[in-house]
Amino acid sequence: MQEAHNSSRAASPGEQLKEPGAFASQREVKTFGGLSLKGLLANKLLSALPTADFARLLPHLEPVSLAANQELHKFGEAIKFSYFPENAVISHLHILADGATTEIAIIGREGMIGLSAILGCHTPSYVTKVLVAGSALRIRNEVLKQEFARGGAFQRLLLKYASARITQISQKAICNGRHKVDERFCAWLLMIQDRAGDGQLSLTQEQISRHLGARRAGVTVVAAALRDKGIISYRRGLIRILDRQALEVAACECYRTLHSLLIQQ
Amino acid sequence: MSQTLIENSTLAANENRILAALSLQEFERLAPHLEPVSLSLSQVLFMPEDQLQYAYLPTNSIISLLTDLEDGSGMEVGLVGKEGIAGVSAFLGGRETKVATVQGEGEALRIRAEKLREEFHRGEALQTLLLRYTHALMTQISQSVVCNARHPIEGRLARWLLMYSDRSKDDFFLTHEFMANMLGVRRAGVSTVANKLQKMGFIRYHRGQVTILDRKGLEDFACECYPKVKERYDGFLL
Repeated sequence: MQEAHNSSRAASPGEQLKEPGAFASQREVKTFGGLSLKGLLANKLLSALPTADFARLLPHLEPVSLAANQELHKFGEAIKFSYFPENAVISHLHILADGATTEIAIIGREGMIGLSAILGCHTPSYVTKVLVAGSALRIRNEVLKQEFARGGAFQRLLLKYASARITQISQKAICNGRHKVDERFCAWLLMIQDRAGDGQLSLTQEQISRHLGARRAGVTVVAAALRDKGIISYRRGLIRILDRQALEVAACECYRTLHSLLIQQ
Repeated sequence: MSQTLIENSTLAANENRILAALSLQEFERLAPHLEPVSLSLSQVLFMPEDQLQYAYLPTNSIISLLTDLEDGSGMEVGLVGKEGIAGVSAFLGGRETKVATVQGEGEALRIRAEKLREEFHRGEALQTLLLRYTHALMTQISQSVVCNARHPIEGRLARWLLMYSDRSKDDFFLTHEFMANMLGVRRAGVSTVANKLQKMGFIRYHRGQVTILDRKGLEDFACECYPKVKERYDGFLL
């Protein structure tokens, strides 16, 4: 992966796109002591592709840097790109009529953003927002759909991922119906960390309440309790997990259930 | 298969929207593999971890999808009626992760999972329809995510009753267990919520028998989750 990124640069949001294929000259699939380059890819879906399929996609995968709170698709707008996150963490947020939001799913390197396009829907009814800044590989939807239509390994992979996504949101539905804010918050933090890597998470209480679909007052109480127990540190909008094991105990079972799904994929 | 059987299958199949949207050619290829079945109330069609044997296309029956928790309890997250198919793992791959239970007894067409997969992979209209249906299903379940976090229990019951009657009629029977699992409450709590809707004049409710009296009122009362998903479902075949 180091080889691949040396000679290409991340496009910043709004920057002019190069023609697809322009990246091909900058990157090659190399074998590196017998280990294929794609095996070093952070995104699990891409790294699971057979070499030939990956080689076809590679010229069209553009490394991008995603900024926190960046909206990848504007609500109601036709989606043009799909994303394979590396260490960026992205949310699908549902917006209610009164402006309140609820998170439907978080997606990181285990998945991709753009299932809707594959499934034939071009104007999803939710907002896609970057929760934790980081890197991703971006691809034009025409290319994605073309590769999908071949009916080979890439199609099978994305279909299986669609199934995993349904499982993820089903678990979230029951979680929101049955579990309390404190345990949901713990599960959510763990899921973010699994995708973003260790380190601090920049999250305001407002953001947390919007993503959990919970009242802000409730979030404040829960966050303070976790901080007082030494499970997390939370200062100036920065959260760091101090005691992961304790957080796992405090989380609802949904974390365990979805985590084992993640490993299986 | 005899001509009469094919004709009967065809008649039944026209009641399922996915099958009705196929070209004659595609339908004729599928028809010999569509077996008409009668589904009885509370029959479990498949469970999590099952390697799926059959996918089901309801014609006038209704199937619910439940996600279960470690303690054995669960919550309903979606409904499948004549607009869809139960058993999407047949073409998506992987294992089923929900419990599919018959909540509205009636007829369906069932097809062997491998056969459906085979037909799906021809890459024709059936594939497009099934993928669009998958998206509609994801939208329905996503709405439950929102609804369960944000909306009051009476509004949620209203939503479920409307979703159910869209696939059935205005007069139907629901088991207490099913209603409890829709709302995430204990069985004892179901009557309280149902009686509230009855008091407001939207439904008549007696021991599980539901009659929708004021559909417009119920729709206005239900949370916005109802029209949002209905829009998607009505449009998915386009």
